[in-house]
Amino acid sequence: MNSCAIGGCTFFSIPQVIASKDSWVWRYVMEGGSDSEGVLDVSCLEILAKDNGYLSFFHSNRQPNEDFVSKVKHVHKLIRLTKTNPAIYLNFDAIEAVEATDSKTYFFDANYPHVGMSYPDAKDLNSMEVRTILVEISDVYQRAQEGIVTKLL
Amino acid sequence: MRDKVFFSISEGERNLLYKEISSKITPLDVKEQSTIFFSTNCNAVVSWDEWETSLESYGVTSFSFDSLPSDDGITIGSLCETGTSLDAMCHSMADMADKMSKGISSELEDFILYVKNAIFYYKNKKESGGNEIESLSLYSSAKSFIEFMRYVPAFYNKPGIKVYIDDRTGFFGVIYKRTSVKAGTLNILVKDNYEIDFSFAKRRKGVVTITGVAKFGKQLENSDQIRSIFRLME
Repeated sequence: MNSCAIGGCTFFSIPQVIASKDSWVWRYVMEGGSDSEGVLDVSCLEILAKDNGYLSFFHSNRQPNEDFVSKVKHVHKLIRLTKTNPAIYLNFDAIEAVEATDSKTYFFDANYPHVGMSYPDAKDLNSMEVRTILVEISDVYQRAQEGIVTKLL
Repeated sequence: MRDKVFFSISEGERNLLYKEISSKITPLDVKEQSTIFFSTNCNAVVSWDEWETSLESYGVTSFSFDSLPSDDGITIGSLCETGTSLDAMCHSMADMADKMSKGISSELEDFILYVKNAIFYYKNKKESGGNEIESLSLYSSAKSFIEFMRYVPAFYNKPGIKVYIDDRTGFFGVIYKRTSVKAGTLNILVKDNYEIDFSFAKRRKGVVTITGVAKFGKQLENSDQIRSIFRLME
């Protein structure tokens, strides 16, 4: 367990994040593959009753930071999904997210590399606008069954 | 695909052109520039009129019980009745979407496949979650589906467009991100009350957003006005 308790330490002050000089966070969106063609479950950015008040993201400190293929594979391992199942992930820069949403998003250590994102202002909870902003600043990747990583959006 | 076509015209050709397209281009437009443009539908396989005809046979405006049924014998009217199960509703929606689009264009059928993928992804997610969906929520979802189908001609030919069903409300939506030209991201959620929530976000210096509610009413003839929302990306 990291010394920073959930909600007690901002994402940007996590030592591993500072050391990696990488403020991008990753979220599992949905299972990929042919059955998911043409679908993007943007509800993955909506905090639902089952989410305990925050959404789960992950941070990858794999270097170099520009190697998104390595990052996707790393995150895929961190989330501990079935290895063979294709999966779709999105990622964005948490610094840009906070700025673009006028601080309507808050990122915190949820036992690194697990990172939490919450919407501090209740009236912005589940806001369609915030979700659209997050998709706009996101890249979306699919890790196929063979481990091949492709950028979808 | 809707293209903008530019023509250079001479002074003598203007009067003739006005007669053809006077509702689209005003004389002032021509006066202010040496070339004019108008939108042409030459590449569009699915016209709004053609699509309306297809929808009307399913009674989407009247929620008729006498309209064409799905393979399960469910009509638009009964789809929106309380008591329909999630499984029956999803299969009926997929079947209706198939029938409405069959034979019109392969591009449209591709988009309908996305809609069906979204339906069955939502169904599997709900079933694996183990939470029973209230019949009121299913009713809202069915009505949203019917409303969503009205706007298919605006959705089907957008490259990379994604379909989703909102987890909380069951409403159908699309998310369209034009990454190639950095034109921003448009999120459209079709509700069950003839309203559409939309939000547009675009990276500039920071991110600019335009968010609102569009009301196109019950009349199918108004469905094409959804193009106004897509113009935010131009």
